[in-house]
Amino acid sequence: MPLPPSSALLANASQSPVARDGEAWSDNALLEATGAGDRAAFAVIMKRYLTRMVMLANRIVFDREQAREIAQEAFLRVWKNAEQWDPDGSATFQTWLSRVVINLAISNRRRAHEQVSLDDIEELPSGVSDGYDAIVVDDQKRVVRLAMQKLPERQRTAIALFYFDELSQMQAAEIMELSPRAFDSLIVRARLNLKKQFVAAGLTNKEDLT
Amino acid sequence: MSNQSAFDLMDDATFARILKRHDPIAPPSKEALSLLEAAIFARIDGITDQNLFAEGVVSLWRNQPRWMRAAAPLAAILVIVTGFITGQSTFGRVHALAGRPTILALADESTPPVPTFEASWGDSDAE
Repeated sequence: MPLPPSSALLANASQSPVARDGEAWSDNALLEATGAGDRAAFAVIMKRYLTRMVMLANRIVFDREQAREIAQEAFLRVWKNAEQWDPDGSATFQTWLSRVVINLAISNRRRAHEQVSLDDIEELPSGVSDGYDAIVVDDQKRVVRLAMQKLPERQRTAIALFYFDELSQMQAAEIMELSPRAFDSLIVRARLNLKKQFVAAGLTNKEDLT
Repeated sequence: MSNQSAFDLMDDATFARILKRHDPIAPPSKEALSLLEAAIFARIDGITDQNLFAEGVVSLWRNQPRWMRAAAPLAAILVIVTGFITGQSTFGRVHALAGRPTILALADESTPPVPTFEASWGDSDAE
């Protein structure tokens, strides 16, 4: 009886057809090749999505090392499950992968008991009301970071997907497994919370306000 | 401008601009990404080796004749039980060396005592 196909896992990547023009392949085609053990196909998938997933994880956990571990775990799941990927399924690969990363990030935070309460987090600086010129760039990033950390996880995730990843409302709602209406409500609440904190910290730009 | 005015004037587009302009999360460097990709492939290779070993064992089992695969569990049980009863198998001998008599020895009082580990190392004339 011949050995199972897993021996192809050690196939020479340079001999793969993906190595020639993998950038042009669709996600589904790459996943099919990955499921057959094609490392070159998997490398293309990583090039497409690894940066985005590391940053998405980082926006939830706010820890670079943890974000990398989360991304690592997510892509290992891609490798393990590629053979079972259904190209006709309801979710796109990006949706599925984002969902995996978000779930891993949230469970990672809960496991580490790193829920940031309003009492634990340092207070945002109270800036002057015309404050753009009064706050240096590092402080501005810190304001945004602290404000994001104060948000509940789901609001933080919604902001990350909608504003930073620039996904559409439909795409972001699908990833979070919410109806469009529920997602809209969530993003409105998140935006309101952040706006209040930005204004309180003086993080507004006179040129932006008309 | 009061805080309330600033808040009221901050429309969604302004809000989005502020967020993007002051994004606290920087993309990972090329070096960091390369290391991460290498780490992922290293873990995949670990998974691969385990898979190959497991699949090799399964393949070896499946290559045996069907009658042998069916008889194997029964044979194993018989060997173990026989050994404990007679003391002749490895399991039985270990049991005996531990100083515990076998079942047949208990049943037959005329059976000489089971030699201990120390006695078996001694001078053969002593037996």
